[in-house]
Order: sequence, then structure tokens, then C-alpha cells
Amino acid sequence: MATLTTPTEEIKAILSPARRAATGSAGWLRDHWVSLALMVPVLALTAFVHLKGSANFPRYTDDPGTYLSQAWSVVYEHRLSPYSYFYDHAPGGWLQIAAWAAPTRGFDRYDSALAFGTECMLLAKLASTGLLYLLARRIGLSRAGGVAAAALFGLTPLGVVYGRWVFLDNLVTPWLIGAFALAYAPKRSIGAATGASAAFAMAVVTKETTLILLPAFVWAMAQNLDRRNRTQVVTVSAFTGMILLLLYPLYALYKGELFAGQGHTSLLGTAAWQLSGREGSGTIADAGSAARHLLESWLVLDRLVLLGGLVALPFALCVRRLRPVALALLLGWFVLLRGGYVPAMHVIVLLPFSALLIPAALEAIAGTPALVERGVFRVRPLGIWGIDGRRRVAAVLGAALLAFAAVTWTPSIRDMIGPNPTPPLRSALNWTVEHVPPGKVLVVHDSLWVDLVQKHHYEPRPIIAHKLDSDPSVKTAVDRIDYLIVPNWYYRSELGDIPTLGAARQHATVVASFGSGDDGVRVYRVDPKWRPAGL
Amino acid sequence: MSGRENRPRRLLRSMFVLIGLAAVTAAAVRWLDGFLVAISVFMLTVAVTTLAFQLYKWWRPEYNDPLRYGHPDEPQLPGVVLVPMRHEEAVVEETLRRLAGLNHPEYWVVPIVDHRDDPVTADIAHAIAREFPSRVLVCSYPESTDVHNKPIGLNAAVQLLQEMGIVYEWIGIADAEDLFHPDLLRWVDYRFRLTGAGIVQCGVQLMNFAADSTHVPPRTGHFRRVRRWFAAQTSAWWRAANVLEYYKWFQSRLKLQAAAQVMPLGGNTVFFRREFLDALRQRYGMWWDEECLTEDCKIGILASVLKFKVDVVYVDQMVTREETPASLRAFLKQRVRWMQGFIHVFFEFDWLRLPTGAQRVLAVYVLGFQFFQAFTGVFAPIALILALTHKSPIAIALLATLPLALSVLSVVLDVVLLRQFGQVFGQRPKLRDYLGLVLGAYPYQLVLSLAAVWAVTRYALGRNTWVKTHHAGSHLTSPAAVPRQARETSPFIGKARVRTWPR
Repeated sequence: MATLTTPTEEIKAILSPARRAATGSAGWLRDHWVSLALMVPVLALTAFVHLKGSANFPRYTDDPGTYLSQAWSVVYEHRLSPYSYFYDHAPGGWLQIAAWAAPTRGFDRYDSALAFGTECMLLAKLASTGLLYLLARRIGLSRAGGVAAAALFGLTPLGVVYGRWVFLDNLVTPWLIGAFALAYAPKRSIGAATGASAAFAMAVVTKETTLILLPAFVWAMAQNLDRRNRTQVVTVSAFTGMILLLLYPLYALYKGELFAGQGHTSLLGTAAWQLSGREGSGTIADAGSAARHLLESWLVLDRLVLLGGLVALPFALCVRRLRPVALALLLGWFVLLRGGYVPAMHVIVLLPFSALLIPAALEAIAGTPALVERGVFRVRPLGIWGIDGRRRVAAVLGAALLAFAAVTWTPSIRDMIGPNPTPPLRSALNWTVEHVPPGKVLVVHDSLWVDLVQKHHYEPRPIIAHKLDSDPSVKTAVDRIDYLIVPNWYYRSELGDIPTLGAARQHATVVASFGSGDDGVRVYRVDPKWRPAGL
Repeated sequence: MSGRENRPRRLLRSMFVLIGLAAVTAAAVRWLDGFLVAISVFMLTVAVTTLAFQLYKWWRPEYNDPLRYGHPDEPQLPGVVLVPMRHEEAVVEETLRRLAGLNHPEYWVVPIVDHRDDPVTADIAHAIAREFPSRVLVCSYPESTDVHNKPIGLNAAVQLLQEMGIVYEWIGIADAEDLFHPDLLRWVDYRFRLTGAGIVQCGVQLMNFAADSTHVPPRTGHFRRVRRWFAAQTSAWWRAANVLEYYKWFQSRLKLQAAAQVMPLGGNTVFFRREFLDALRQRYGMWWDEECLTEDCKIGILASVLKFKVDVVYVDQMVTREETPASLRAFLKQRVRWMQGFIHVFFEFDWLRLPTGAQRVLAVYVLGFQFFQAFTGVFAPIALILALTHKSPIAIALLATLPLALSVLSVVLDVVLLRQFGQVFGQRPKLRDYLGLVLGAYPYQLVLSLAAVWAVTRYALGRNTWVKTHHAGSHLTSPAAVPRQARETSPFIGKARVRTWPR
């Protein structure tokens, strides 16, 4: 039977490419159908949980709209941003969104650009989930362990919330997990290693902060080298990764914007501001710090994956093949301890590695042979710490985790996919379209920008509130402002960055109001006689 | 053959080439951005495939396993080694003695000598044949013709074998200066049986990457030694690159091309299975094409057309060692000849009869590769400079950067490879060798491009007449001091001809 279904090299050579592809994919299916049967339901469930109810949950936040506006600009204007691109992030992320939007007409398919953004995030999430299974299997976990890792990552409420938001970090994850999966490729070919470096470089040009994980990635690569082709593998893959990374500074260099200077934005100038200019978030060790608040806000959503990953760390560090992944997670946590600025979406990078290490630690305890070839977990004393006893312990722990997840996750996920009130910004948009004629100058929250421009053709283009004072070209071009449509939290905490917004509100009256509290939105009409300062 | 074309047609053809070039230039100037994109994509393709091809040996660990060729068992196939020789009196004795003592139970060594033209070599060959009566058999070059080339000699030898009823299962070709490893035939025998291949090509390796004063003519006058030494140092910059070309060619490119079954062969240390030669004769009426300038390249293509497999064996200790051309000038001429040979094989269109479309595409690539590579090596920095000075969109400038970056990668890989080469063959490259490799990388591409342009021009003008080599006296005067030269030997087309550049 085997000879019938597995063609030898000679038989393969005489087949046409189409036949070869057919027999090849049939063979692949035969080898992988169990994995497919296990993973397809997980992926389907992940997709369902991700999409259902995503229009009204979570609340609108800053940044998704900005990234979408930049992707929109790439597609329709062939520029990196509708405003001055000031090297706040490497452009890889929204170039990818644009690459998906352009052929699929993504910005025309939905009522809201944010829905298209959610679709992009879904694709990234499905890719990450699948690749996490692949990585788990390549590291040596059993199928059950791989599925557990994928499910923990795909379904954790923390991941659902942050995964729905259009953040660059969500686009980093598939590249990052893909890079690790390729680093662990059993063939150890130049192609796999080069692909791994290229994927890691893509992760970095998607969001430059990924660079802190470089030591973990290098370790994973180093662990999987083969003496017989080591030199060439290292040379080619390192060089390829470097070239891809260098494209970003090269872009700035060719544009004359690498070095800081008068009258233009610059990569190094922005980088200096990002590294030192921002207020630190403190360390999670300090109970009153911003970082601690952030951590607590994450733990409200889910304790299992984040804390479980931390508990799994010491076990993982005992297993050779798990150490690079464990290091990646350690580096992620180190950022929270360090005391520098930590954005909320930093949690996204912790999730896949935590989700992987929890089942990995259980399997290490159980002594899965492919995972632990030797070391403490291969020692076989008798009694409860013998191999059978440890297996039982691992099974009990696993069952407990499963029960805990089922109990704590089900209600949160039900809330997330259940009916939720329309976000106030969405209602404000609908009101604006009905009541404000095109031709008025609107200052809006970034999440509304693409819809107003692409779908409702507002001309002059609305101004994203954050650009009002930060982009010199906006500042000089604005001669009047007619409406302000931003959430209430802007007037509480963001006015320091946007003084013009505050000044305009002093000469404005509320014409409509949606929701209440910080997330509520009041639409202001500005006095037609008022002119922004500096003009 | 283009050499026989009449003058007006030649002129017409040159005019077409010139008009085409002018049109391309005009279009490039008019639509510079589009031109840069097209050219960058092309160069990127060439650079990536070049790298992928030359890295084949290291692509997967098992491709570079020391035991990948297996271990030869007891030889079972009788065979024959043909040694075409002409004016080789300096080396013939050593070569034949060595060939007569190889570690294989049943084989003949057949030197092919021209009694009328080269009695000295013939006498030595006969003396050796008397010494080893059951091993060495002299074949005489046909006296019926005045043309001297390798295929005629080889065909005559095979004819002789048939007439004498000598039993053979394979025929190998050695050059007069080639010293085979004693165990080489065991390997060939073993590989023929293991792989069922129609052809086994064994490794040929240029060895001297370092400067060697003996490559430079003696100086006269003051400080003659110092001046000779200095001239040798400064003129050797291209040798390391040349040596590595062979290293990459035999270990990676040929392996990959054998796997893809499109393959120009080397001209020596190559062995043909009897079935393959019979099939050639059945199809074309003779074994080697006596008309074709580059029968070695052609025979490789024909092997694929006739669906015979080619096996490439590069075992470090077994390789046939040769030396780089004596001078840069000789190197350039050698390249022109090979490149022109490739053009010639291309226009013979045998490759159109390859079984699959993929193989035909690959054949075009393999035959055109040297031209593409030379072009890419030289034009990559120019494209980037053009993109930057003409304020092309930044995406185009970035795209134009990539081929240049890959050229840098290929230099880095060469440096790594030179170190490995030194380790394998027990020679320690010095800093100046590495410097020559790095600083000489671009000039080396310039030389290759010059050769490419020259070859194309010569072909377009229909000039492919070669005059006979007068083998320089170096072999005669002091065979021990002067290293054997690879001047005529091409891994690409093969040892070629007993002909050389017209002077």
C-alpha cells in the first residue's frame, strides 16, 4: 500500500507537475489529517468568537483608526499617511493591511472601516493560532498539547479584546510565531532559516518594539543549526534579515529624513523622542504605577493565560527546547518591570508565548519524549514522581485548567459576543452624516476618519484630532474649524497634546450628545467667527 | 554554422543588434522608472537564483554529509579511459603511468596520439603501452583529415574499441595533464551501478587562489625578484574568485542541474555509460559531434534529451586538480571562448527537444546564465545610482537596492567559502587573498562582462574560427616548476579544443 501511495523519486520524476502536486498534497493530507481535524474546529471557534459582536465590542480606542487611515492612504494616495509620516512606527503593519485591502476592495466592503480592520485582525489571529500549533508540534509537544496552546491563545478573553482592536502588535504575532516555527523547522535548510529571519524582520518592520525579542529568536535559531551547513545558514539568513530591516532606515535615508533636521520629520529624531521623551509607566512592582494599573486591567479580562504562563516559566526553563520561547516570554515581562513607557497593547506579545508554555510545562512534567529527551524530566524515580505518577499529575492539572477556563471564560466571552449597545462614536458618526453637510471642517476621532472620507466624501477632509497640533502641515493649512467630534476623555486627558481642540471648544456649543462618561461623545459646533490661533 | 555565412547577412545581423540596442536605450531614457523596475526585477531574479544555485550543497545538512555518496564496493564494470593528447610530451609519461596503475580490476587506458603530427608524444605512448601490454592501448588519430579536434579523436578511439572487440561498460575522458586519484574508477563504477546514471561527472577543482611568482614572466634588471614578486601579488587578485567558481560550480550548480536534468558537462573526469553512447550513435550517427565547437556542453544537453541521468560526484580527496589560467588575459580569452560556445549551443536549439517545458526554461537559463550574471554584477550599482540621482519614487530606489545587497551577500559568502576551501584542501588563505576577493569582486564582474560583450560581438560578426594552439614551451622546459594550466579547460564547456585565440 505504501508503495502505491508514496511515489518513489523515480516515479515522481516522470509525473507531470500537476500530478506531482496532486500526489504531493494527497500525501500531505494523509500525514496531517489528524492535526487538521483537531485544528479546524479550534480555528472555526476562534473565528466565530472573534467576529460575532465585534462591531460593538470592545469600545473604540485611539490608534486603530489612525492605522486604517494610513492603510487607506497607501491604497488610494500611494503615500504612507494622509498626514506627514513622522516615523512613529515602521510602516510594515499598514502596508500589509493595504496589501489586503487593495485587491479585495476592503474599504468598500463594510459599513465601517473598523469592520474591515477587524477582518484583517481575524486573518492575523487565525494565522497566529495555526502557526502556534505548528510551533508547538515542532518543539515536541503532542497534538493535544498543540491544540491546547492554540485554543488558549485563540480563545482567551484577553486575546479576544486586544485581538479585535486594529493594533500593529496583532499583525506582528503571525510573523513572530512564524519566525519561531521556521527556526524550529526539522529540515534545517537554508530556505527555512532564511524564511525565519525574513519573518522576524517582517515582525520588526511591522512594529519595531519586537526587536527586544531578538535574543530569544537568535537562541531558537542557534539551537536548530546543523554542523554540516551551519556557516552558510547563518550567513544567508542573518544577511537577509538585516537587509529587510535596513529597508526602513534606507527609506528614510533616500528621502533625506534619516537624521534630525530643521523643517522635516526624521526617523532618528522620532526614535530619540520615543526612547527618552515619553513618560515612563513605572514598574509593575510598584503598586501605584501605570504599569501596575495596566497589568490589573489585563488580569480582569483573564488570569489564566498570563499567570499560567508565568507559573510555567521555571518548568520551561528546565527543558532545552523550550528555553528560547521561555526567554521570549521573560523578555516580554521584563519590559513591564523595567519602568519605561508601556503601551496597553504590549500584552499581545505575551499571549502566544504564555499560551504555548502552559501545555508545554504540563507535557514536560508528564515527560513527553519528543519534548524532553533528557534532563530532570527524564529521571524516573518510583512512586508519585515516577513517569506514571507525573503523567497523572499533569492530567489532573490540565483538567483543572480546562475547568477553570470553562468557568471563567464562558461568561466573559458571552458578554463579548452578545448584544452590546452601539458605541457612542458610531452613533455620533451616523448623526454627523445626517446633519452636517460636506464642506464643513470637522475635527474627529481617528476611528471615524476613513468612513467620512471614503464613504461619505467629506471635503475638505476631516482632521484627526491628534494631528491638529502635532502635524505642522495641518497647523498651517487649517483656517477654520466647524465641528468637534471626539469622545469626552479627550477633554479630560488629551488637551495637553491638542491645545487647539480645547480652544475651539471654548467657542463651541453642543449640538448632539451620545452616551455618557469618558466614552460618551458630544458633538460641538464651533462659532463660525472663531479662528484657530496662529492665523 | 555562422562562420560560413556570407558578409551581407553578417552585416545585417549586426545592424539588427545595433538597432535593438539603440531602441532599448531610448526606451530606458524615456521611461526611466519603468526601466529601473523591470531591470531591478530581472537582476533580483538572477541574483536570487544564482545564490540559490550556488548554495545547493548547503541547502540541507544531508546534501553536505561526508557520507552522502556512499562507500564504493568491489568494482564490477569493465571500462576504458580515453586520453586525447597532442604535443604533451612533457606530461604524457607521468599521466599514463599513473592512469595505468589505478585501483580497478578491468579497464583500458587509450591514449589518442597523432603519429604524423606529433611523433614524440606517440613514441612515449607506445613505450608505455609496451610496458603495460594488458592495460594501455594506443589509438592513432585519423590521418585522413587535417582538422584537429577532440571529438574526432574520441570517435576514432571508440571505433577502435569496437573493432578490437574490447568489452567495456563505460568510457571516461582524461586530459593529458590530469592525475586521477587511484580510487576514482572504483567510485565511478560504484556510482554507475548505484544511480543507474548515463553519465558520471566527477569534480574538477582549480587550486591556486594565492599569488605565485611562477605565473609571472621573469623580470630583468634591478630587483628582478622583488619586481616579479610584486607583479605576482598584484596580478593574482582574480584567482580566488576563479577558484571558488569551480568550487561552487561542481559542488552546487552541477548537482542542482543534474537534479533538474539540464546540464552542460565538464570536459574531463567525465564518464559515459555504454548505453548512452550507443543511443547517441543510434540517433546522430556518431558518438561525439565532430562539427560542434562545444561538444561537451552539447552532450550534456543531449543526455537530457535522450533521458539519461547525470550523476555528479565531488569527493574532496578525489577531485582532479587544476590551476587557474596563467594570466588575467588568458582568463579573459578563456571566458570569451566559453561564452561564445554557450551562445553557439543555444542557437543549435537542441534544448528545444528537452522533454518538459520547465527543463527548456532552465536550459535557457543555464546557457544564458553567465551573461545574466555578468550584467547583474556590473549593472546593480549603476541602477541604484540612476534611481537616486533621477529622483525616482522611493519604492523604486529601494527595489533597485536589493540586487546590489544580494551582490554584497554573494561576496560575503565567497569569503566564507574561501575559508572553507582552505580548510578542506589544507591551504591557509591570507588576508591579501580575502582582500582580493572583496575588492576584486566588482572588477571581476567587469572582466566577465567584457568577456560577455566580446563573445556576443564575435558571435554576431560570425567569428568563431579558432586556430590551433601552439602549446607554449613551458611544459617542455621545466615541467616540475611550471604548474599545469587549466587554460583550455572549462567546467562549463569542457576541455576544449586544441585550438586557441587567433593572434
